[in-house]
Amino acid sequence: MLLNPITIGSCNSGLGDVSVQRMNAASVGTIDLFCGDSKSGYVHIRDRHQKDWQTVIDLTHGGGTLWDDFMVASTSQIVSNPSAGYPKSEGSGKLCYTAPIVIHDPVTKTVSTYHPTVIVSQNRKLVITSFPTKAAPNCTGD
Amino acid sequence: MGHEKSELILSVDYGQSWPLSDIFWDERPDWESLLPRELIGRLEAWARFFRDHADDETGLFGSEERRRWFDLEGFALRKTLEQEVGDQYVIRLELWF
Repeated sequence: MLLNPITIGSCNSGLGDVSVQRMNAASVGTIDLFCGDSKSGYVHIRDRHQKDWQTVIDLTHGGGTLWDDFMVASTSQIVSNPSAGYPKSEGSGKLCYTAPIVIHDPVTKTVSTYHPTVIVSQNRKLVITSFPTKAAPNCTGD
Repeated sequence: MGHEKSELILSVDYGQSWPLSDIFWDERPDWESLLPRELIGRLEAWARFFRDHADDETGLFGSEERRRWFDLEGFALRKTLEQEVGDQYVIRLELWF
């Protein structure tokens, strides 16, 4: 899954309502990761968690993947096929999703598992945030 | 040569029930043995306050009084964390909202 550079350019231009990626979310249906702004969406995730996602990418020694391609692919996979018992309600119309993401390091032959946390607005049908928590998700109910 | 301290970021995003950046680490500190129970409760309450009041549509907390409490409690938590574990970590507060 490769993001369209033109779409990301729209995000950089401040067009918050442009969809970066459409996804199918369990319990909600079709949702979008919009460009958003500093409070939610792609721009928020880039501002707050690009470094965290890059740390995960670095485990693959590059792997030719950009942080946001990986983030979107992981987020899409998690919301469409969450772990048993998810999504959990966070209150205020927000749902929390997680699922294990397994990372293979081709150099050291090691395997790491992450349990990212994805927050979705159930009412507005959009991704608010997504960050790669390690040992366990950070849903309120955990 | 001194031991380089890890950076510990005090910040909270939607969904975060624990407001420290060790949620991204491979091996997390045993906070129960490092921090007083009262401080752990304050950290959890600070994260809960954000989740309960920070509106991702408006960027507001509902009142300036709430925002002021959140910011001031963030500064106070950073200071207390520095007192408790500042010998092991560099504490950085990020009030992004």
